[in-house]
Amino acid sequence: MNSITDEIPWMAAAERVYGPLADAFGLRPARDAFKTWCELAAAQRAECVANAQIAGVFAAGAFDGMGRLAQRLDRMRSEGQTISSPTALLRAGLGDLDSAMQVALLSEPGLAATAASVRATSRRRSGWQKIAALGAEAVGQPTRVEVDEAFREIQQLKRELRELKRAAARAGSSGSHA
Amino acid sequence: MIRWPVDIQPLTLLRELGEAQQKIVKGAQRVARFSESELAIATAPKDEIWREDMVRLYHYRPDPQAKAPAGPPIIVLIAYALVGRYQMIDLEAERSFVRKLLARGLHVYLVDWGEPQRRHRWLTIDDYVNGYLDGCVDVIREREAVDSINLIGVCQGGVLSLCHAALHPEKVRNLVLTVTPIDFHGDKAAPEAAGGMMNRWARALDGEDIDALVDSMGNASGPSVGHSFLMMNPVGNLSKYTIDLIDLLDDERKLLSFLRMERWIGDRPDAPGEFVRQWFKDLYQDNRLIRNEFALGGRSVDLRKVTMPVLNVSADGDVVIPTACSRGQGRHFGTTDYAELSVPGGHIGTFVGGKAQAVLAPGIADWLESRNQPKKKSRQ
Repeated sequence: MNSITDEIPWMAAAERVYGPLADAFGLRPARDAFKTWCELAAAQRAECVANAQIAGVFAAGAFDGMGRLAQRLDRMRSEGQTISSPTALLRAGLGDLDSAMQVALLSEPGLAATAASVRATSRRRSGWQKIAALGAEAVGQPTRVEVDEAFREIQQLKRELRELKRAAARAGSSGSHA
Repeated sequence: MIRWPVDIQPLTLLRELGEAQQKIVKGAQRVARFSESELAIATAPKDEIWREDMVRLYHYRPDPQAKAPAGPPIIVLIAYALVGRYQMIDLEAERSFVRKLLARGLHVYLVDWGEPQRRHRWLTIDDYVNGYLDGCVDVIREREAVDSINLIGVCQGGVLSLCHAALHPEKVRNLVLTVTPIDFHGDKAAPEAAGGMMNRWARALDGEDIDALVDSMGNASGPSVGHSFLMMNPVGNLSKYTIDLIDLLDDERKLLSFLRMERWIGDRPDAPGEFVRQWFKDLYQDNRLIRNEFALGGRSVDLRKVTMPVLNVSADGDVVIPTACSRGQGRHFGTTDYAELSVPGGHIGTFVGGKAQAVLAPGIADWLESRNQPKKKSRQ
């Protein structure tokens, strides 16, 4: 995915011309931070768009729900029925809204909006993690990725230990049978 | 101009508002009066007999009133899902799946997957099946001096149990799957109006989305999983906590059940990231289990190796695991002894619903008893 600095021509040009020079003056962390903030801004923009899409799906569901309630009331009118209880009216409305919302959420736009929201949220979360990592590196603390890598190695060792124990148990059992 | 068939008089509106207000006031007082012991869940007495990392194996104390079934003891290990806590199967004394099994004289063990921490994010389905679950099975086999035990898997726990049975068939005497997804794409051929939302959400994403999600989250947090479940039925949940709740407030028994259920719902553990990655990519997206292409620990999970008797339990109104994903899967297994049991209610209702309670535990106990032949381990 292109960052904002790649998408804006003058920023891309400045980056290519002066980036290596800035690195030579020890400005790499500042440049990384700027780039990451730009990425984060883009991710937050994408998240806003995704949230608007989700809101649109809910609005469509609500609108459809109102339509269903109107149809129900029209049917009741033609059958000579009347609702005299506010609670009964509320229940009927919620029932229609419920079924309409299910349809809206499972529609193509609904699924696309949910997927866009998941993508944007992951991207935004990842952006903040990069910012935190830059801060951690600046003060000499291990980053999330480094800690996770250590956990991964521990888990792999535990897995290997489990296999070794199994193999030893099998060997012991076949030895006692022999 | 349309004339709506609504004739709500101001007095009717005021009366109903007044009634609701009275119920809320009395209900709030009632809720505040409940003691912690009244709200406690999962109270069937049990003892921890094994522990590894955050996983614990419990043995439930036998019911002294229970009449032992004919033949050797029926030993069962229950594996619940990772996305919720095991307390669901023993939510309250009068709606307890575990207590009903104990009352039938079964020896009941339960694996509690615990609460994974950040350091557990690399745990895979292989670690759960060939590590923790297999460890529990071995401990029970040793403790009870038997070659094989009965496995009861619930939802995700059913998938883990199924994988274990395929990889270690010699250790599983009978396999009971409850509300378990087997064909993760089964809903494609038979879409249900309000069902299979998780299936469709998962398929709307691509593999890179799942990777980005897991990489950025580490573990899937319990609240985020809970939020996903709430979003499956947003309006239903809105009603549940408002208008439906008001109706419960003057019924002490129903209110207690509601509050106990809320305790369970609110207590969702995190799920290890790698587990989630495999779960969504290999199963929900690629449907590898049913195609015998799912691999754990370098070994293929071949469902044709599930040669022990299998009872597959599904819920008629399950919208979390559509019945098309769970029912009619016998042809994929190697066993010739395959049976299905349908219970009324939804996914969770299978274990707590009044009608389901009358069918589930008795049905499973009957099925296990009918296959209970002497087969003691020969110790050397």
